[in-house]
Amino acid sequence: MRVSNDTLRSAFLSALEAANRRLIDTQEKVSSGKRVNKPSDDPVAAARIAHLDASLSRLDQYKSNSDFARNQLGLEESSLTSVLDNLQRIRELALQANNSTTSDSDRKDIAAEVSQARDALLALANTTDVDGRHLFGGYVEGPTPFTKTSSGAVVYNGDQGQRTLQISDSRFVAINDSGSDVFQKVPQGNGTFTLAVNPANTGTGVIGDSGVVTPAAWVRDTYRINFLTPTTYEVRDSANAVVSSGTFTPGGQSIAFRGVDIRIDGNPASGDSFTAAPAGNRDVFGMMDDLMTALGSSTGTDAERAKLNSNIGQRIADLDNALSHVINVRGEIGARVRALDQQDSLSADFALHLNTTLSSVRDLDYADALSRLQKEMFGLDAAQQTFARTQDLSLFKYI
Amino acid sequence: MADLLNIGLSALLTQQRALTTTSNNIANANTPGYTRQRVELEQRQAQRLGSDYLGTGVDITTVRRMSDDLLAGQLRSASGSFGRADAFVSLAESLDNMLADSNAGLTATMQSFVNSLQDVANDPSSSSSRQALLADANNLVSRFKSMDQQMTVLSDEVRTRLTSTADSVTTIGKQLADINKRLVEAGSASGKNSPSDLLDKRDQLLEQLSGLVQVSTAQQRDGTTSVFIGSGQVLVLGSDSATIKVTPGTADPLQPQIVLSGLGPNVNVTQFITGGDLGGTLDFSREMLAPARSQLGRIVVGLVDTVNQAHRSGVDAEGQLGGDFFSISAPQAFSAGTNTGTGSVAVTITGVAALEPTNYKLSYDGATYTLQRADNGAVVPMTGAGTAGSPFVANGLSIVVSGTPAANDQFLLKPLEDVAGTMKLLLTRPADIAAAAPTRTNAALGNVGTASISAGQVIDATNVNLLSTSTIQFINDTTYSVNGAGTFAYTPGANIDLNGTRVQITGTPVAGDQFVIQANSGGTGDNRNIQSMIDRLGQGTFNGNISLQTASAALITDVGSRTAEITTQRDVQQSVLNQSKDRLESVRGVNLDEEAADMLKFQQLYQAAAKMMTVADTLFQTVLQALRG
Repeated sequence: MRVSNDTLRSAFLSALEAANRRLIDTQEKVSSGKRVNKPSDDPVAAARIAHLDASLSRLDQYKSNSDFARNQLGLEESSLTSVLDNLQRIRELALQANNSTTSDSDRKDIAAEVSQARDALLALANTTDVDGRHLFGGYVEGPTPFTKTSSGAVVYNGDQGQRTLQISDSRFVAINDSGSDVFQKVPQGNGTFTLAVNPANTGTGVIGDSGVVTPAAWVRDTYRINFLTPTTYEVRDSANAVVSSGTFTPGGQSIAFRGVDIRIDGNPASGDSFTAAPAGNRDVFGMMDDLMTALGSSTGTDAERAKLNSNIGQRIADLDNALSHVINVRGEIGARVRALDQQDSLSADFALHLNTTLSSVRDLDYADALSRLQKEMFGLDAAQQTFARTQDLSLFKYI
Repeated sequence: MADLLNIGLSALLTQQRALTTTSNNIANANTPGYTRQRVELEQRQAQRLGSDYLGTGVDITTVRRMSDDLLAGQLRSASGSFGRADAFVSLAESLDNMLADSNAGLTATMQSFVNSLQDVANDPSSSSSRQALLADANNLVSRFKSMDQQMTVLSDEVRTRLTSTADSVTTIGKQLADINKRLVEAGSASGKNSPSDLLDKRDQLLEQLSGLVQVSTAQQRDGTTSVFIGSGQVLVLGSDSATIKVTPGTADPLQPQIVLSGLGPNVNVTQFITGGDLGGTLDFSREMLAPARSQLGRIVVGLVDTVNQAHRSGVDAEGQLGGDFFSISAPQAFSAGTNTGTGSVAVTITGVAALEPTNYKLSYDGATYTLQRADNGAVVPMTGAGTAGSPFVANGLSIVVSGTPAANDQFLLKPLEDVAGTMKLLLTRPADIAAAAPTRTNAALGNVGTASISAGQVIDATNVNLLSTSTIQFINDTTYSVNGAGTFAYTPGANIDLNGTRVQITGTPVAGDQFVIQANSGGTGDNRNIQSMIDRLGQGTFNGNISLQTASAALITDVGSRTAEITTQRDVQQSVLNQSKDRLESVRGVNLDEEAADMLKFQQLYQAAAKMMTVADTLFQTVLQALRG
């Protein structure tokens, strides 16, 4: 094929141009450190980078959610620990009050201290975070959750809402427990039934250790144990039907019916009665009120002391329930914090993995790029020299 | 002797001419479009001498212009293909660069909006996190707007580029017509050779023209060349040329159309234009810019719809039901300028999930309507009758035709293309953010069973009784009543829908246990609605489980791969163009070494011929002296 001078020159020029373009492209990549600078560099990688960037940003957000949750839960946990200390103290006071050596006036002092403790508990139930928002109001963070009415009873103004935060794509964690769940829904008695002594009792019968033996045989109802004589009893249900009857050994005996065992110690008199009602929920402030009412009764006679012992014994059972209820709530908080820790470490691992992937997708292999840069510079140099040389060739030089 | 002199003279003259041609070749070696010339020699007619013939010298038959029409045609076609790819690439690169910035990118901005939602979910009653959400929502709006703005700038650039290219085409057409006229004047038709310089000029103009738009040519008998655009629309005929103009589209003023005028009636040749800068620019606008804008629009519509729907199901910090979070304008529809009927079309988006990122053409043949996608021409089946009562429904759109369209009327539907730029944030105060759900649930304190109720989810925020209190009371452990009425069977974990709120009760209830669904008054710490918004934003918004993030990534991939593809195509076309140029140059280009050799050859022959003259003279002198003798 004939080659015109123009072809020779333009062929060289386009080769030079191409070499220049490649060089600039490589230079751009080397200076940005990225393999993909615009989507067309590698369209699939560009989309993956966008996905990976978004995932990393989401992980960051989950971490900040988790930090927020840990803060809130920490605050709640420390309030609950104070609540537990408080309840523990009240329980000790109740035990002390139940002691036979404690006089009526001592019990008055104890009642005063319980009243103090109840106020402290109220303050704890109204704990706020640094921004003045109440921890135990459920969704209702603004108004004070627990307030005293004019009669001194405590009412709850919040709701049962529980806020959850997202700590991973599929995992949510609750960051609060409503005041209703923590302070109000405390089971009474032993959780199945509560026992009460008839205030009109004249004997010295005291409620002792009682419990459920066969849960399946229990039928929810209010039962009354009537002592017909000091040695015979009958158990009637709310419809006044006799459920069980038998003889009673003065000094102490368990009375069994409907799968439960109720122990009566001491010597009940004829006509004395005790009731076993199905357990419901009671709020802790009400429990304090019950305790203070029990503490206020006098112990002039043996019968009165027996009633006091029965009553305080039941209030201590209530307090035990309250303690274990709050311990459960606190335990759950601990479990949530553990879940946060576990998720954080999972997320950190995942973020590391994503970063590694991102780097392999986006970042430039410097060794490869630099050797390519060198090769391209060499190529460009060679092309320039060849161009200069061949342009020098002409027959006219020899004629 | 006279013969000898004549022969010598013919040789002298021809070599002189040949040298002149060579020197012209050398002189024009660097002239663009120059076609080298060669003197063609021929032996003069011989003289009969008895039974023999004697040569009488040399003649020039022609000064040949070394051109090749076939190769020139190939070059024009290659130049058209390259021109298209080159224009496409330079525009596509702008779009590509626009999506390149990963920090300001679409997915990053959307993620940052979701992160702000998460911050509000963490602390819904904090006005600072609400304020930050509004700021981020504003950011998101401006991100979409600026992308739309950049795309609008690109379509302006498309228009400007089309206009200036069309002007160049018109100018070149005029020059070609002028050359045709001069060729006729030079008498090319009468069998004489055409002036080389005019033909060079013509070829060069044709080459330039085919870089602007793909053309076909036809050589006429009178020596002129006719030039056609597209499928035979005349640009140059003899000494007349047409004007190419870019006018606003008859249907959509924002879509430019290309009109050929001056020779006969005005013709819209937009869809016939292929190749060249003009074709590449149009193709970019049709194949890349419009789909990208529609894709962006679809993301915006999906996002706005998802956020608004969720937001309307919540209550704000002041207990009011949430309104729309963002707004966008309604889809656009245009009637074609050629329509003869009075019909007009209104489009609304009724099913976001089914939306496709494309424009549509609705045509009426007098009896039935046909809906076609603008991107691939596929016919989309529609249901309904096109009336307000029963609109056409297709791909998530509801189409209502009003007025009386005539047969062959057409309508252009642009449901998504211009949407992104119209996005607005409607919320102004942090308190307006509906983070909480309108209702909440409570279990009565006296409940003795183990049953518990879920937090509740609003499934119909428009229910008029949404905020009324409903009490679920268990009659026994398998049935319950609602507000004291009815007997409903209890299935643990089953959905119970009351007044627009859905709850589930699990566990074993005891007769008398109560659960209440009521208005969530004062629930400033509730984040359920924001959380449901976050959840919805992560779900598949469009059919095929395509989430907003996937749709954004698809936009990146589409633009990136189209740019990469067309860049490769450009490089291939570049080498095809170079090859056809080389092949044509190998025929018509000047090689100086060759010219040097020719020069020597002609010079030597010229010297030899001169010597012949001397010999003739010597012979003549010899005869004279002999006679003088």
